[in-house]
Amino acid sequence: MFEGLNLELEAGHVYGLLGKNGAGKSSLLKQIAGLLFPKSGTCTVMGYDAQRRQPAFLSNLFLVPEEFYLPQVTINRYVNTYAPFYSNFDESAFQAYLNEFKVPRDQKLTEMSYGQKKKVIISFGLATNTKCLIMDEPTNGLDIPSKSQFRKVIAAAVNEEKCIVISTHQVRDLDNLIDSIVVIDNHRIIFKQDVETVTERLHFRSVKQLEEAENVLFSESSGLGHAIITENTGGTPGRLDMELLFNAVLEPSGRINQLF
Amino acid sequence: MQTSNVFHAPRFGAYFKKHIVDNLRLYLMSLVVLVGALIALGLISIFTDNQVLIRPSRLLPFYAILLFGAGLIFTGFSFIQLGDKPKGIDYLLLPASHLEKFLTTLLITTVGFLLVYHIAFGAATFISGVIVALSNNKYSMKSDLPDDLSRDLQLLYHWWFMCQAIILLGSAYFPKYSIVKTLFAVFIFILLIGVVNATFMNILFYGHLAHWAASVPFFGAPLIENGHVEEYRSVFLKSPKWLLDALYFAWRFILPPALWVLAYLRLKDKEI
Repeated sequence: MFEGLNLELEAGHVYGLLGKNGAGKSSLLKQIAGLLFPKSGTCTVMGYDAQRRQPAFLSNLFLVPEEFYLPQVTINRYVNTYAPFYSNFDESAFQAYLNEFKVPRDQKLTEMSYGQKKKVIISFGLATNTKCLIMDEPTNGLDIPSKSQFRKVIAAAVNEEKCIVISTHQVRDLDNLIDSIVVIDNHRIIFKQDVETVTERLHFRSVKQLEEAENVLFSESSGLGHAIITENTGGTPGRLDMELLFNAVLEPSGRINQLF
Repeated sequence: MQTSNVFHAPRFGAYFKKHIVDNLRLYLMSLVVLVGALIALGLISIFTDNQVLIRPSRLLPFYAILLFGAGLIFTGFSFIQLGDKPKGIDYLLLPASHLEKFLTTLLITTVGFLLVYHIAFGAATFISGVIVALSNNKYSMKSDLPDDLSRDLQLLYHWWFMCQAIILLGSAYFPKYSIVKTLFAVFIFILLIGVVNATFMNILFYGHLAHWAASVPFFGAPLIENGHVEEYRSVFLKSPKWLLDALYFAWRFILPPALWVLAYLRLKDKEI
């Protein structure tokens, strides 16, 4: 569980919840969904006490868990039985998402691969149009083309009223998708910033020799050279290397965190 | 219009429908197995009897055993989904209230089961009767149902509802292997009551109890007067009638709903 947790997530954003395995990402998402209860304090989502799991709250929240369950029925029957609980469910949007993922509508859920089932539950979650959409490791089990389709459908679903939280330890999957970053380590939130602020203050680039750069805040070496982070003195937002930022934030020195 | 977060009839209907759709295959298979078992038991009972006279009263033990066996096993699976993380998440996060989810389970395991069981029993009896009728008039049937059958059945159903409520509560606490765990918990509970009762009886009637463990919880205790002389007097000190009546009333009408309420509260507090 978390100690002294204080986190506010707002509508109109796509949050990337990053952390190592066992850092507490899933626990935090379960707290938000009302599946785990805080030992002290409250977890309020859209004005509802999450742990009461009231229908009005649940009909505005959809969780795509890492390990999910789909009953042994056809997609149509699944929609017929689950959709009535979500008043804003958009049937045509659901079909559009399935088309984007290239999942045939008439296929039985039992005959689908894990990746296809995941696409169905992601499509359904997006089509519910809930104000809060939580996805725990959504790209696990998706092949490379599907990951790009995933980014596309999420980008299409974003609006000012919706808060999307995506948790992953595969940070590259969230490139160009999220607008805010939350990093968790050892059941503590150690970093929370929007992407724009990060790219305004930090400069991510690659160099052949470390000596070529000055005031390096963090670096990672590979066979091709060095990926480095320096302070962005110009203030013009550049590109973001999420994996490099993640590793830099986890560094014990905490040099990156001191800049925010 | 804001709908109730506790009970909303259309939402309850949608949830009930979803529950049936999700479990239809399992329920139909269970029904077939139940009818098959009843027919097999009925025919074995008839054809292994050397007498040519078929007595319907012979079916009553099977009726009772399967009523308890099938009913309690069925109830034991009530919250099995909570023992499986993905299914539990799906169950708890579906936008219906805890009350609607619990009522669905309660209705299915009581009204639903009893309805299906009696249809199955009726069908099995009918099919068995047809098979007997086709056996070249070798057998004849004579109604020998006891006169006080309705009183016996009433007692049977009080016990059934009590056991159903215990197993349902156990299922809410122990989603996996609920029946075994619940029976063990009941055994421990009865043992604790016995120990507490024996302790108090020994404190209250020290030196006068026929045996230190002979008292029956809630009913009374056997006492011995002048136990040190050869001609002693033994009496069973019974609880007053009003207390026994009150306890019997509570056992039949208060305890099962109270256990249902506890199961509902447990469901509300369930974390995954």
